[in-house]
Amino acid sequence: MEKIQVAMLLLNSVVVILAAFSFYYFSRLMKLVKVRRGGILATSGIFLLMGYVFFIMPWIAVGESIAVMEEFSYVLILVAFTIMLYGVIRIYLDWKGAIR
Amino acid sequence: MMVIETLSLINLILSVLILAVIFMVYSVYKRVYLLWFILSFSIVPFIFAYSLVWSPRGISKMGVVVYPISVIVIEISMLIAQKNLISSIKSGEEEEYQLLLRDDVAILRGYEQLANFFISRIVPLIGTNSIKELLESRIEKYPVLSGSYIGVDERLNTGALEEIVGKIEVEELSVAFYELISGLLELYSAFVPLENTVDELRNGTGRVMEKNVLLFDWVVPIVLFKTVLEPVLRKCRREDIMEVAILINRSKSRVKIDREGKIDISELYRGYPEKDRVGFIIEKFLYVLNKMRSIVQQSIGEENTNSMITENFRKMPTNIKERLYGEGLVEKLPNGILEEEKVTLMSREKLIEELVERRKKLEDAYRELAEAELGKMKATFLDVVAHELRTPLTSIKTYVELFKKGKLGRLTKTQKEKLDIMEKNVDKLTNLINDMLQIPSVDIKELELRKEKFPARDFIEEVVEDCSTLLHEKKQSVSISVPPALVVQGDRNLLGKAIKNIIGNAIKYTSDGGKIKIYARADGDKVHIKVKDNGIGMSDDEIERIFDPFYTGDKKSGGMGLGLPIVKNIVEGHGGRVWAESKVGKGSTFHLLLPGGKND
Repeated sequence: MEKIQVAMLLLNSVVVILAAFSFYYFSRLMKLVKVRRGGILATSGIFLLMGYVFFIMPWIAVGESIAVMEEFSYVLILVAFTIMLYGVIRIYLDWKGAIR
Repeated sequence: MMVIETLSLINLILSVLILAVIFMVYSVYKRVYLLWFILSFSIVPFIFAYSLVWSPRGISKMGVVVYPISVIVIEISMLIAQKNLISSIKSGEEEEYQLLLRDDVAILRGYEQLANFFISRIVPLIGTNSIKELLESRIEKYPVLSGSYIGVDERLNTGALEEIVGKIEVEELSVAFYELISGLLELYSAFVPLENTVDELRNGTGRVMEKNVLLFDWVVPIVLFKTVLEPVLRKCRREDIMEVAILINRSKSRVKIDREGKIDISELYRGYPEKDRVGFIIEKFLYVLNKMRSIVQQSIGEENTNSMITENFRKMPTNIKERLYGEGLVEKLPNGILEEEKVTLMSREKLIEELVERRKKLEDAYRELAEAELGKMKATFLDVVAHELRTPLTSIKTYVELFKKGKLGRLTKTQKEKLDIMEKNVDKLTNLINDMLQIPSVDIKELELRKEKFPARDFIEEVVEDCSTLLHEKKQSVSISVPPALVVQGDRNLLGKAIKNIIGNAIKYTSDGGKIKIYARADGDKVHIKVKDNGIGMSDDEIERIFDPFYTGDKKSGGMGLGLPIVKNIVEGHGGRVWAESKVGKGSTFHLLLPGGKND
């Protein structure tokens, strides 16, 4: 195993742990908060995670980038951002209406 | 590589846009957790900018560690933001409570606050043991309360319920909490007079409602039955209470009354409607009130009953009272209850109606005034302009005449011809100015002095005679049908001008060889004159505007559009009326209604 693979494995285990914490807080929030767009944000979060996994996996597995997987990960992230943009715009419109 | 660069660029743009929108959210709703979200997301565009820079060369093995490190930073900021948001919601302050909190969680917290309000009153009197026992008994009866407990801070804690509240029906929760709060009220009333307990119930519900408006629908039955009706019922004689209880318990009201006059409304929460809950409760309340009223009146007297119920309504917390009154409860209450409020509300409605009516009248008056002012200004303007033009024209005409008479030297033939044209145009302009001067309303005082009675037939024949040259030119015929005894009253000169104008128009807009008919007959004390032609006619749109100054329509008549407005001014100045009827291609009929009179 190359040095880069070990480094990526270690760093990404921290990422996974933090993601687990984040998920825990997110599910707690969803129990309390009536963010009607929570589902949209969660969907975009899943796509984002998948995109990251596809991007980082070749670096952990073979220690270098695989072009096809990298492209695919960027597409997934693009989908995630599109959904997220829609979600945050809806939240903005909801809150703007409610506060004024 | 091109694909990755393009995707990186799109992702960079999208992430900047997302960041901008989050920032916009922060601009309307300034909260620390939003700043953390902004901070965490602001790293994302840099990641894609980094990808964009390194993509052509390929990311180096050391360079790739930037990605997990960035993600770690993002996740940490995100965690802080989420923790911040949770604690902000927990604190239950201001908009956070209404804007973010789920409806069912808000209702649960409202019930918890109401219960804690009474617990804080009871604890100093008897400690927490009885309360704990009460809670245990309620949990046994209503498992939905499981997990709630009285903590070391001597307060009810429903944190465990919050976790599962999404799975609980709000109706079920309301029944359980209603039973718990009723038990707490009973405990409290064992140590303080009933009036004080009811007062505290009013205070408690009012205070909880201040922060948590969602609770209104669920608390309103407690307020109406427990603070308005129950205190009155409990003042009655035992046998009367029993009579009321039998009557109500047998009805379909779903309200139960025990022998001491305690009202149980727990059944009302079962099958609580999803919409118009307040309307439903008001209906039930009025039903029970009307049913029990006659018996209660026998027991404690009619006046007493009405004044007690009225008093109880007035003691309600303002926020609850206002919303209930807004739902139209006051108007539906039986006679004798809240009479002053009924009058106030009615007079308010009447006042609004009157204000609307007055405003309309004021607007109409203002518009009329503005129109009148505008008319006056127009008249003054025309007057000034016409006078200012007439003076130099008189001077031009004098010099033209002097030239023509050869007083200012001999002229050639061509010069004479040109001077003729000049004189003709000066005359045309003078006529136009004279017409303009007649646009302002006819001076009624002056008119009175010039009024006379004259036979209509002679008068019309005279006017037609004046137009004979034009009629001959166009080979048109005129038939006059006017009774000899018919008399017109007015300024002969002005009326002649008006009729001549109309006949002139008829000649102008009727083709060669056409026919013009003039009729006149008595119409009450007026004379109705009709001038009918078989000319080109007018459309409805034209008819509406022909009496407007300077309106010339589509016809190339060469006129200034002042003839008919002058006719209108003259006729109306005489107290008469002028109007037209027409069909395109079939001709027009002008009607003049003029003052008549008997021949002396």
